[in-house]
Amino acid sequence: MTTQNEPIRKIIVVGQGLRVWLVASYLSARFPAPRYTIKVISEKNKSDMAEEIAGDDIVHTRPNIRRLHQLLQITERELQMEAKARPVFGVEAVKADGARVLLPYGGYGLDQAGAEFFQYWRRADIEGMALPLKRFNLAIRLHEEGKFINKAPAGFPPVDYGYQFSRPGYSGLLKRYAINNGVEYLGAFESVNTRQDNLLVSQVLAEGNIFDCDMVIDVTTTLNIAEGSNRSGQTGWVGNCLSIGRGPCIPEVLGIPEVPDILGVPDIPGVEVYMLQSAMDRFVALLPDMNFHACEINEYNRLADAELARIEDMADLLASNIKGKALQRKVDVFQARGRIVSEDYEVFSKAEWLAAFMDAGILPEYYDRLVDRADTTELQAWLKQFDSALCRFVENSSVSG
Amino acid sequence: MTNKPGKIVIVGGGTAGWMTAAGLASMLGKTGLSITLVESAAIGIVGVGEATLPHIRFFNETIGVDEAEFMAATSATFKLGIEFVNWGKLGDSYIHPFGEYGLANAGVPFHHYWLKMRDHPMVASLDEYSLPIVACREAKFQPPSRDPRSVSSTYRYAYQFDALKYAPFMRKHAEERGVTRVEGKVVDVALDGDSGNITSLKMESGDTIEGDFFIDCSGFIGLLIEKALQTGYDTWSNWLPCDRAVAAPCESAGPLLPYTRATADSAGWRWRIPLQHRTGNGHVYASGFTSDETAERALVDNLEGELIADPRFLRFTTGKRRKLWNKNCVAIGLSGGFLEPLESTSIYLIQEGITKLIECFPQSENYETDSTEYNSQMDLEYERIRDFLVLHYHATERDDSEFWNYMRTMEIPTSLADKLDLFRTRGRVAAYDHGLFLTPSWVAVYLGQGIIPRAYDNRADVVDESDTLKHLNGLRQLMTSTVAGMTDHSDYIKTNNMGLVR
Repeated sequence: MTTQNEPIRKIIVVGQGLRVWLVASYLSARFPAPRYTIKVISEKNKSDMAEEIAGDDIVHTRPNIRRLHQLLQITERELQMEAKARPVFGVEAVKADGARVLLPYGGYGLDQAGAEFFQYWRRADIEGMALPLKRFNLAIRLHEEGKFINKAPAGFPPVDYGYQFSRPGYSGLLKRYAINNGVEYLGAFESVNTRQDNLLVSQVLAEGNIFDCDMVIDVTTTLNIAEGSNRSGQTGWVGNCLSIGRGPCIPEVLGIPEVPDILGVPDIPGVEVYMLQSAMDRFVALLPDMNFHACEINEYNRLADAELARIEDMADLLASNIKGKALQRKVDVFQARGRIVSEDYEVFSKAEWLAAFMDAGILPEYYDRLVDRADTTELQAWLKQFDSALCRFVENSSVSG
Repeated sequence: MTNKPGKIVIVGGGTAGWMTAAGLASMLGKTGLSITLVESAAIGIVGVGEATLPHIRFFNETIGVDEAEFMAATSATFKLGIEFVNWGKLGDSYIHPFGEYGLANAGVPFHHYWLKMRDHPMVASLDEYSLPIVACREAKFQPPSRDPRSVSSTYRYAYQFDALKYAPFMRKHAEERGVTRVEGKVVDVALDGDSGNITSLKMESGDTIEGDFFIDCSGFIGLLIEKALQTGYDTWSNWLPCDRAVAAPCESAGPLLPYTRATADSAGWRWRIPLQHRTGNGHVYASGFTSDETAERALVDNLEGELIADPRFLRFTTGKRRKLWNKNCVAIGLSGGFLEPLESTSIYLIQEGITKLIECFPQSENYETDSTEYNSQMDLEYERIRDFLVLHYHATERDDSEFWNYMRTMEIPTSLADKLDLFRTRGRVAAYDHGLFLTPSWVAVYLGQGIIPRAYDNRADVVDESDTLKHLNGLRQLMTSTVAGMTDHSDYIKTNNMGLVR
């Protein structure tokens, strides 16, 4: 017999700026009013539009952000007008030495007869006749030439795109959508009331008003909403409080300047928004009821930890700091034969890993046996032809923006 | 780029051996490889896996097999799922379909809407919302549509074939692509004193067969991987105690069904695989809980047609080699491990072994990274399939025999216990990117074996109850009308020149 428990209905999101409005707008589309109420509270002495990352007016997003826009039914025109959106075919991560590496949102060449394009390229490279690999990546060429296409035509490497936004503009746009969907901004946070079993039951505002809640989502990076309860310092989802972006490496990954050990750790643009969005995907898929079952919370945390580990791996590779079993496995397999191992819950595409490996100067010793089937002359002609076709295509594409 | 392994020697010519030979010859034959397969006509083959999973189609396509020719040559039938009888409790039956249940709505999987409404008089059993299950029950078949908007695109299919005919079919394919067959028995395996690698095989005839890389498809005996290299074997008998099988074909009876049946018995389970010319039957059982005689009787007494050959007995230990790739030898098929064929995974594991070997195929004498990667990927495959198989035995109310009492109450792997807990709580399926069985398969077995979640996803309440009912009824009608338009399974085989007139 199915016994449906009381669902959560009152969600409070704590934070400000893009982080809070992205989460609130997402939730408002998934959990419509009046069945659900979603309210926003900002940190003490901060307005809801204050940004946590000082001096960074630009926000980068990965291609998955387009799902959010589809969910909220935000138009391209609104994105351009209000958020100064510019489509991007990749992001430039800044490494510890200040150098930049472009992680493309699109693949290299086209796979042939069961073997990846890179394997053919590597064979030609070993035989001393390959053009630079990046010439075979349409996303990189479009990025470098400042051109835009929606979708690659057949016969060309696939491309995808995210956006670069003005942070305040994008926050404002998402706030407008959230408010239109019934989200309410309550004011600044003062303290939290907890129940005997440590569940958060209400939020006290600076003005003294008290708001009940079933669930709290903390998207701040400096405040711990659970302070005052005995759960202070805990991360992830605990009880009825979900903290996003408080994992041990998040400040590093986000490049928050006040974190002392940021030096030497690369910033990966796009990750901040990606993590907020994927955290919401997970939360919605595991939506709890008022019993807050441990197995559902554990599943959320398991998936979140795995995602974080994948991001840390990329950050470590960009910092040339190879540690951790999964990253070492990736490096070993790539170095041996140019294959990119995929773990459960990858964040970055194979093309992004390939770009990072190449940038780190890691080249495979061998290529796949499968590409030995190709005739040397035909392989060379194919690569040249491919390069010319890409050149012509990019030349004839429209200028971005 | 020197010392690429060039001489490949495969030992054993059953399903695994000839699939491996055909796969390697098709994919790597033009890269300077010479492939030799050693087999002895005097040694019988087990002929594993008459029933397959949809992945076999990808393998066949990759190596250029024509479907109609293959169907006719192996007396094959189509397969849309597996029926499990008496698993959750005596009298139960459900089908694990090769496809989805219903359609997700607003991001909420279909089974949550069904869970919410299942007590409503207008709502049918979950099976009726799955196109492949409805087709199975009606003995219909039609290849899936390529149009993703069509409900006919929501399933996949596999084959049921005569494994004793499949190996020769693969042999023909392999020999046409340059594989050399050597007849004879291997009597000794020579190892290199320094590296421990296999260098050659000594044949009963006195001949020596040298190779750079060896593939052990010799079956349970593990002639190379175990007898020569002493790799070791991890057993999972505590979770999967069935260790014997008895197999016997019988004459076909009744309509040609597009599915395999697995009927739970008092100390194991019986399979029924309908082929064009006969029905394959077998009984997998635990010798610790029943005798060979009782198992044989249970098989023979339950045949649907006349017995056409004497029952054959097999012994096995569930588990896998500690390293499927050890030194310069990879074990594929029964030499690598054994998981009982409850979910038709035997040929899938052979196929995965071949595919991953091609991906990791050594390009030099230094292949430590390749072998480590191969072993790590295959270990994951085996372990995730193991958990899925254990679920079938553990998720039961049966208490009618000592065997079922053991299975129901045994301690299960933590990885499975966590998954079960999550589903019991609210019907959620733990998500993984890698592994053979995806969400619909887990849902099929959980619900089919009576694991009814305590609650459903609250998001299903966002949709009004009458709209949900309308959605469910619409889907059910769509499944019924779509299946009504499909062809009778045996007619499809006949009219497409795929085999025998029955």
